[in-house]
Amino acid sequence: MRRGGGGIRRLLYETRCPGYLFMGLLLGFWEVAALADLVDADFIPRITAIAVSCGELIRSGELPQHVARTLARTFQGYAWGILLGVAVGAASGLWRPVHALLGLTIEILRPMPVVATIPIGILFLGMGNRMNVFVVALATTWPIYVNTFQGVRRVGAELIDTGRIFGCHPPRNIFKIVLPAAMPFIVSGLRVSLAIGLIVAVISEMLVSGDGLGHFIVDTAQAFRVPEMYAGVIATAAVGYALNRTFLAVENRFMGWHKGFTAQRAA
Amino acid sequence: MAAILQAIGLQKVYNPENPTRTVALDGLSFCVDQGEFVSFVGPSGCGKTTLLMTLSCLTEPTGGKILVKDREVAAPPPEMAVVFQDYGRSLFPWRTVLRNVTFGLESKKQLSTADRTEIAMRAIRDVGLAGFEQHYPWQLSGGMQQRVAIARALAYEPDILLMDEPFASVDAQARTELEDLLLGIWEKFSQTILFVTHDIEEAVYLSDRVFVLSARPASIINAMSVDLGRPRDQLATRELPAFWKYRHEIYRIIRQETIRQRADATGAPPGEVRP
Repeated sequence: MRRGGGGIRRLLYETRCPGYLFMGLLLGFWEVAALADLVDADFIPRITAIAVSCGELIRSGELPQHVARTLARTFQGYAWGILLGVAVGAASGLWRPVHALLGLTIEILRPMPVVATIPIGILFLGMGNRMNVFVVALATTWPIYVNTFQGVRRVGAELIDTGRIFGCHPPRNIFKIVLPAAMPFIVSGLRVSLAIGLIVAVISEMLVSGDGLGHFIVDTAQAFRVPEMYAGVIATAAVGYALNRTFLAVENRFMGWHKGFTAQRAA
Repeated sequence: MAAILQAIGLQKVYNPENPTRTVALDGLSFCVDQGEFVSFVGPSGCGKTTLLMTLSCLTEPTGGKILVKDREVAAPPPEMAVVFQDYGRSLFPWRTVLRNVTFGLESKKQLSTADRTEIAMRAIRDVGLAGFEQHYPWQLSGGMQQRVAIARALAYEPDILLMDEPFASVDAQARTELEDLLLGIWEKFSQTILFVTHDIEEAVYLSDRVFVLSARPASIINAMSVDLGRPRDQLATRELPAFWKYRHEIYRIIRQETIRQRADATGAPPGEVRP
């Protein structure tokens, strides 16, 4: 008896089984509800039907193509966001005059919902891909900017002094001391921005685009291809999940020192 | 012997234009010979750290000058290295022990990567950390982290080593070990060492000369030559009557200075400038 109890305990505390089990239950409930006509199967088709249409869309290459388009937009905009966010954030954190010059403008622009800029983007950049990339870039810049700024401001004077003693002076110390020391902050900005980037890419595709997951979801919904629409939604969720997991893996690889450092400091 | 470092009329005033104006150093002058081990002790808050920051050119003096090898310096000179008190804040947590130690060598362009690694490995062996090159500093104990900081300074091959209460944050046992490690290194490489501490016994044990600083603003009120012979030994040296005589004398001077400062302070609130 105690052994069995220990087994369940281990299952609950040390494995991912509960998570999979819960998700399985939800999907099972969905399937049964659709089968038993508890919900309108026109609007909420059976999960197996969605899975079938997912399979067809993947086999035909239609879904992977939309995923690729959305990812391309996300990464293009994200790359601009990283470049701008880190550059402006670091410059503002390092040099007071830069912050004095740009700070006010940025603080006014930053809280603006980025979706509101889409019409402006259309006016200046047209209905093409550049508009989608622009809004993603704009949306992903802010969290990276804010975190880089904070991180750079918090770099300890002792580290800078150590650099000066050992012959590491500006501007070289920006890359050898300031940015590495601010990296934990920058990385948390990068993580937030990646998620935002995908969201904004999909929204912008829903409004203006001939392809991508956002376009696909709206398109299938309007054509009343309901299982396909759900397939698009699920694909979007899967892309978001995969992006986050990839990010965490990369973070673990390169920022392992920070985990150990903070754990040791807290102890 | 030739003087390697001279301070002439060093003055440091914080916020000179403000009501919070504080005179930290006031006309401090001294001379340190090549290869000498000198310590600075004084009442707490007397400006020991300010002195060290000024000597290393990390803060600019408001008056006076510093000469290294008879040359006036305004920026941290390459022949000088510093070991700070707070190793947790001065070591780079994203670099391994080895890469912390090579840090100073990266500004010496004439060295190849292999040279840098070799010099760093030698310094790491000299401080007794062989086998820990690939660890991160935060994986080590406090005493070991301070050894990393010492190795980083050693690898830089400085003529002058400044140390700001380097052993104040490690436990007592690690402390005596580090003291002897430092003496061993000093005897091997014969750098000039300027050592700031609040521990009188430590100063006497390590030094050729002990500079006793006054209460703020700091000036030198006594320069005591410590004639205890070398090499020193934690037990034998510390049991010599002369050791206790030096300790007693320095302690007495500092206590007198503290009492004088308190008396002054009751006349004028602390933090304000003395007339």
